[in-house]
Amino acid sequence: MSDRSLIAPVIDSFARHADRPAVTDADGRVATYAELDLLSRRFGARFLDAGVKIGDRIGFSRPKSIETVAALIGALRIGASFVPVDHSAPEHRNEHIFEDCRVALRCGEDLLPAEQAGAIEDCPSDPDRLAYILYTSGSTGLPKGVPLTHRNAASFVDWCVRTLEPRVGDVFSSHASFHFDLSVLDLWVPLWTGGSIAITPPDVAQDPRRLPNFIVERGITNWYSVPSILALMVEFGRLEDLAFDRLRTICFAGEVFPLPMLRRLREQLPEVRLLNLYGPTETNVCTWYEVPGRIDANRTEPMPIGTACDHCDVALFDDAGQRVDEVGQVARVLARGAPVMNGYWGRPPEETPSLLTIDGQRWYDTGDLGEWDQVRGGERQIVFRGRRDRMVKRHGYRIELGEVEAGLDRHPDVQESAVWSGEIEGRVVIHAAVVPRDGATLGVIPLKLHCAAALLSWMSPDRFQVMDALPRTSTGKVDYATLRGA
Amino acid sequence: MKTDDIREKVRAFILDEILPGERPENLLDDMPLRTSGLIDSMGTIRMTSYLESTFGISIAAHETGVENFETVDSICQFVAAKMAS
Repeated sequence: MSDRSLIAPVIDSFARHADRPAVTDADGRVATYAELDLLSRRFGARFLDAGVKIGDRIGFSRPKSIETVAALIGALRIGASFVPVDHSAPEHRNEHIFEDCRVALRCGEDLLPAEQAGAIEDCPSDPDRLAYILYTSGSTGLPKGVPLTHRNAASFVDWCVRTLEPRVGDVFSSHASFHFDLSVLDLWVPLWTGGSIAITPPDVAQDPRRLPNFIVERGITNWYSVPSILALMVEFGRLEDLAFDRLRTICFAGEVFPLPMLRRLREQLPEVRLLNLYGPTETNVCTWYEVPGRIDANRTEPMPIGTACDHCDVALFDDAGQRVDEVGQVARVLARGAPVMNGYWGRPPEETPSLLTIDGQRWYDTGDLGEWDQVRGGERQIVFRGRRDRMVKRHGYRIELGEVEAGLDRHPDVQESAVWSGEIEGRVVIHAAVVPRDGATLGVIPLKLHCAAALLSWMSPDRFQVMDALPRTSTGKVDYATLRGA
Repeated sequence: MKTDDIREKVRAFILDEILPGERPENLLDDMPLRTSGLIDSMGTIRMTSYLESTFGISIAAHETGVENFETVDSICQFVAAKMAS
């Protein structure tokens, strides 16, 4: 296969699988590889007409569709990179992203492909060329860009191909949005291997009662999503009423899968491979764990995140920078190697505290904590033990609580705010304490409405309390411990 | 069950689970809940299962859209129609 170019194997597929389906749209419309090839060249021609050059970035703010997939491919074919954003996100957030990475062109839904593909030629590959930038929540309130090169992305896709062993004609779910890193597997693994991408309709994507039927109707062979969607399907989807004849593999990533729900999924689909994939956007997937056919009845804690994928190195280090190899010590999870980013967009690696040089090698500190665990009768595995900072995950999305506070503080009647997270019945719940400006009154409904407009939907707090002042520690910092206990 | 009882239970769920801390009089029965972002998709899923278990009705997947779940009024009408059928 290829560990150097994300796009070269796709161009091979155009020739080898011309008449096979490549993408099925939300409405059931199918594009073959030949059609996708032509459409992607027409988009490439449009981008060239608009003045896009090799190494330029193109911003994508449009719903998932055959055309959007073709446009992403078109961007790579002419040597540009793509920057996908959530088209339903607040405009100021997307505006910041496109300005931050200085896109040469914005590709919205209204940007049509050129009438003719003309004679566009595929740009020679360069493994160090940028392939895409994915923006994640930033603790200062502004999203930060994670740039990934062809080498970074291709090394991950190549690992997926070796591990998932897809067959020609397989159908991969596209549940995640394209700005979310789970989509990298959804898009490029089938396109490399003659499979097809099944785009989930937006109204079905969040509906656990309709998703199981969608999986069966589309003949999906490989499902990939965050655990919370799978847990909802287990709870509300009546899986026992359906026959998942074609489904061979379910991958999940992005957050911890609560064990009781994973156990039920295992029991309902005993023949399906279940893979727990782990890794922040900065590293792609860097560890994995295959859930056994029977989950130990005595086990109560979540499944391990596993061990390093063979295209990278993952290890635990203590705060002094010493490698931790013994069982039972909680330590930092670090990753290095081909899939790991070189640094955040617009920020020199030496000014990025999460990039560490240890014994001459550059490691990325994920901010996650882990511990080696000796699983009975098996190899040692890393178990996830939480975060060192104020980032939380909801539906697999990263939420920097500082970004939520910055969003609340934009309300004209809010003087200051403090945000923390907790759990109710296994659900992550975000709490907010807000202090109104002098003379202003704040209610829950106006605050929620403000958050719906100012923040991404999954960042909106669930619980609000209005306070006269935030509790402070002796050094004047917000006292989150007191807020949690309140 | 009377219409008023349905309304009381629907409002109680929204006030307790979705908008805790808000004064009941601020939740208007014709206030948009879904299109405004006050209730997200997860909130809708939880409300659907609450309505099913509270009122003994069965709600189909395609019935949980904005047409039935946009306001307290429309939810109450939907539940009443389900119970009558």
